[in-house]
Amino acid sequence: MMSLVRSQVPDPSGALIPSNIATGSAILSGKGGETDTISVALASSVYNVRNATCGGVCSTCNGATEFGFNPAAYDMAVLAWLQGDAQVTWNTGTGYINPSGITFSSGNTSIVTINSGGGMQGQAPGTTSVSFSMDDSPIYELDCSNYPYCPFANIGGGAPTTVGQIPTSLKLVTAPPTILQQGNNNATNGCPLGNYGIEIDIDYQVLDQNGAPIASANMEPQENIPGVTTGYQDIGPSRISGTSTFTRADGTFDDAPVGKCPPVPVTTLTPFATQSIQILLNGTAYPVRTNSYSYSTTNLPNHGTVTNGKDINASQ
Amino acid sequence: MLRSRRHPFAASLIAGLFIAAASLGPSVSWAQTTAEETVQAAMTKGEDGVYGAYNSFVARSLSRLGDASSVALTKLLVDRLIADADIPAILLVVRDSYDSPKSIQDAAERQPRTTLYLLRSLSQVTKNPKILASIGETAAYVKSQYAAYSRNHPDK
Repeated sequence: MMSLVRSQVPDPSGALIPSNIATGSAILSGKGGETDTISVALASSVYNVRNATCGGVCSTCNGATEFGFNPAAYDMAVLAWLQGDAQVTWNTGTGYINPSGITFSSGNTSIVTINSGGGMQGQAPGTTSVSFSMDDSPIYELDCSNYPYCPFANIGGGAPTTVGQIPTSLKLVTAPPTILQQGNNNATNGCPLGNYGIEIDIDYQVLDQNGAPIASANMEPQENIPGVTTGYQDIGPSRISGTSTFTRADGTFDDAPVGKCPPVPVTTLTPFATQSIQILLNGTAYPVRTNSYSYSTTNLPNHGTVTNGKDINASQ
Repeated sequence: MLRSRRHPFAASLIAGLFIAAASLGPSVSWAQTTAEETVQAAMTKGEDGVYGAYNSFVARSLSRLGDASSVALTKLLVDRLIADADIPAILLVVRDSYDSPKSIQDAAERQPRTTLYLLRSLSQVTKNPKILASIGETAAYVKSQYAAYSRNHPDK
């Protein structure tokens, strides 16, 4: 030890024992922490492990000092899986992930369940917490004299868990879509006056992965039209009253107008756009629908058909 | 009446483009980079022989661009022969670009500077009184849309 002090070589952390130190205590351990088996050769020494490194009457020299749960706070979807970890750090600095003796629990198993390995699964929308307890590992105490025996951890860690709905599909609310009235010269509500063709006002409801409506005003519908847009852009707002950047409180939104109003009759059903819709929620984009639209007109102004070949078929 | 001769319009558009670029400053906005693709789609005929400008999705996309559409139009039209038959689609692009000023994403593109210059230049391309009237109506529409927006958003 004296040689170690005299060498004045700092350890990997830069710590250095001052050269004037003549007495003290030290804990020797391997790179792996207290669980490593190491050999110590003593040429000549007097040592007392308990007096040197433990406090009071406690016979436990090392133990846990910090507890945490990873991730700290998170959102997850219904039926989604997420791994939770109990993290225990000892006084020596060694960290343990899910050490033996850990028991996980959920604050509300109807919202989220957690198995013995820390695997969590969302069950229903809501917020609760998950936690863990540790029964058979000692905690670190400098003075254990107040304990009848060396203290063991019985702690809870926890993390707020929010299980939410994720946008998965769009339900057509208006079926068939509302057909706009013939427009005027300003084209403020449909086709320009005298044009042929048709435009429609589509109303959608955002559905989650279980087909249930998502009642949220925080969803941002966006569309990508290859050849027209450079990536996704907001569907709203538009000139049509009721369209906005975000969904209404009930999770519905307008996609209006959709259609084509050429200045000449086009009597054959003709493709005019492929529209991919995604919902932006909490910074994450969820693809929910793709429409391939075709249209045709009659020989009457503002008369025709718009269809996606599936659930949108509007004619007048 | 179809016209197919090259017009001094091209030269004036080029000059206008420099004026517009100088007034817009050195940075290239999102709207300007997006506008070229959207305006290209608007001024391209589909398999039905109809300009993309009559496609509602193009119109919706244009409504986010404002003045940037006219910058892109100017670049596009410099190399084209402008016929009277083309002008309604051009006017529709301009009109749709100011259809919903609140939707224009880049605030710097709300003021119709290049747009009004483009319309003035366009009025020199045709002698058709009906089309000239449409150009005038479009200019008035753009001005009124911007004025209405400015009234409702004095801080913007």
